[in-house]
Amino acid sequence: MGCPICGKNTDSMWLKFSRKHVYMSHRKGLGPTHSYRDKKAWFDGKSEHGRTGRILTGHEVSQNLRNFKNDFGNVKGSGRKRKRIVLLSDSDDSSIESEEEEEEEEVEVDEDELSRWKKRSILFKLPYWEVCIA
Amino acid sequence: MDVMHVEKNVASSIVSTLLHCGKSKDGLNARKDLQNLGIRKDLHPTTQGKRTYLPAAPWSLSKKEKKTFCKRLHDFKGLDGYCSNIARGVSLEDCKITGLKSHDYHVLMQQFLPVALRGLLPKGPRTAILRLCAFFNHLSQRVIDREVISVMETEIVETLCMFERFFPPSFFDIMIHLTVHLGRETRLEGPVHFRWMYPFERYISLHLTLNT
Repeated sequence: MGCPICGKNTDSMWLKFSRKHVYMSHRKGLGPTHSYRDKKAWFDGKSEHGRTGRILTGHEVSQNLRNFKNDFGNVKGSGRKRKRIVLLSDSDDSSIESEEEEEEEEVEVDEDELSRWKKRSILFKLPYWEVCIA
Repeated sequence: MDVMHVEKNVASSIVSTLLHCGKSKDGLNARKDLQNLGIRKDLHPTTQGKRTYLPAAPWSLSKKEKKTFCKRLHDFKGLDGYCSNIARGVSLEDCKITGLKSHDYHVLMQQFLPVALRGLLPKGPRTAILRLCAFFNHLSQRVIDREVISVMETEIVETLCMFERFFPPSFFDIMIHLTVHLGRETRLEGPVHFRWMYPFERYISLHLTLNT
């Protein structure tokens, strides 16, 4: 969830007692024959043979953020306003799904992805921006 | 991504874990997690009667070592304009470090931590910390070499694995993970000091003083 570069491929683990997500398994980034990969007792008791996930390209990020709506200002604690925002976003999603039936899977990914972002920068309005963010 | 905040958060979590102050990543819950994961049996909490004991870990400094560490930081005297007075944030009595600013952590990470830790921790965690400091030092040079950067990228992964070996799982929040990507960004976008947040943070503080 946490990393904007790895996207949804981020390796995370929930710690029950500390009550937080941690991002370990850096051994995946090592070379395929690195000696650390087979050291079980040093790390989590398993040998690691996975590889790091692909990082997001600029095009993917801008695709994900395409439908992002900025809502500025403080959201007050009253329940009514919150509800309205949720309703709005729901209706948005349904309209998107109806418009683009082919990309249904992508839209599902989007909701997951969008939860990571707080704001769509105005720089994304530039036509060439997705090429710039490598 | 912003090097300033990553560096600050990483440095503060290292220092607080070493000294058991502030937001230390070690504690009863961290040890319980180790127990839950079933790894590193020598660090699990042990119960004797009513009390629960946490065995000494490779990342913890002994009382004497804490004293030396704080003394070294406290006694530092730098040039004018090099950094703020770090001794203000170090308390020698209870061996705690509080109230450092992000630039203090920058200086700490770049140059002080390797010196202050000399001969203190067990060798493994010490090397890991020194390697991380060296990474940040290379990263924020004014002149960078692309080939050196790509070597650093592979090295930082290895360094983080060394951290995984010695430090508790609760240490690895997202900021530690983000260091992996810093090398690549520097390779693509150029030196760090053109795109970090220090000038903007100063600018914000200027506005705050003007408004009040």
